[in-house]
Amino acid sequence: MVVWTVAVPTFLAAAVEWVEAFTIVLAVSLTIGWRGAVGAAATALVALAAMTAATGGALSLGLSLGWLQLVIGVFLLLFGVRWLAKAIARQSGLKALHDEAEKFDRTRVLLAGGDWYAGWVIAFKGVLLEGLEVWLIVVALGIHGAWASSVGAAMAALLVVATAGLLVRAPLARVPENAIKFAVGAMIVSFGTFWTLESLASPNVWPGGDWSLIGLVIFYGGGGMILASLLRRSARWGVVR
Amino acid sequence: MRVFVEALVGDAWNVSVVAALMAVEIALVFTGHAGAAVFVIPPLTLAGAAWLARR
Repeated sequence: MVVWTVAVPTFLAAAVEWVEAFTIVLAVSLTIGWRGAVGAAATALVALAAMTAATGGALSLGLSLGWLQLVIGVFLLLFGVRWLAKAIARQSGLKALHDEAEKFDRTRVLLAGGDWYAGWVIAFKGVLLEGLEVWLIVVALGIHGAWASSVGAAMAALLVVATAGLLVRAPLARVPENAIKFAVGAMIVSFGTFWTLESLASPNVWPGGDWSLIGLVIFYGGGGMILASLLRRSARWGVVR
Repeated sequence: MRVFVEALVGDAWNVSVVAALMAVEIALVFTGHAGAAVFVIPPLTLAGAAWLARR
């Protein structure tokens, strides 16, 4: 059975990361060819799959649920606060919107020498680094017995992005990345807040139990939008640098 | 190595914000104010994210 509260944030977060990874692989493929670039990407994906399997196995061995929840909660906060901050900064205009075309050009410039080995390493590192965030989300959200949903959602996102990318054969610039980052940032921070406090205090600390998660997502999403608009306004008046 | 660590936990400012949040959370819970933490931590987290956004 699909656990949608796990599958949806995992799919969205993974899709954003895979789009970034695809941009790098596409740029590298134009220098060293598809075979080399896809080989590097596949090697990185195998490494990520091994990491996911190893972590899942290790985490399911004997650790108390409370501690696990606290550690995972802190990691989710580290990840979610960063995404929410980036989304607020981009929404308010304090930071430029993420531009896949620019990233594509930057990678092409980096590979101007045409060195096959350097291209392979760039594609491998790019997929591995972007995939690390996917790994974190898959492990964090899957740990409560929803492995199939989190791993399946991440793989579905990979399939969708790879298919769309191969059809377009260009950087996937039209993905509403900031909107997705806002939504996923709010969801991930909500899980982090919920789990850390629940593990430190007691399972009954949140009024309404698991339903509080919905309230938290609305609070962080709505609050983030309001803050972004306030920051945009103050930037216009010269209050913010 | 640094790149990998940053990919996982973010930069030093991000880690500082989350560390501060956890410190407040732990202080509230262990002084018997866990009920208040429910209403204090989310606004603090949002404020932390906004502060990071302005950096």
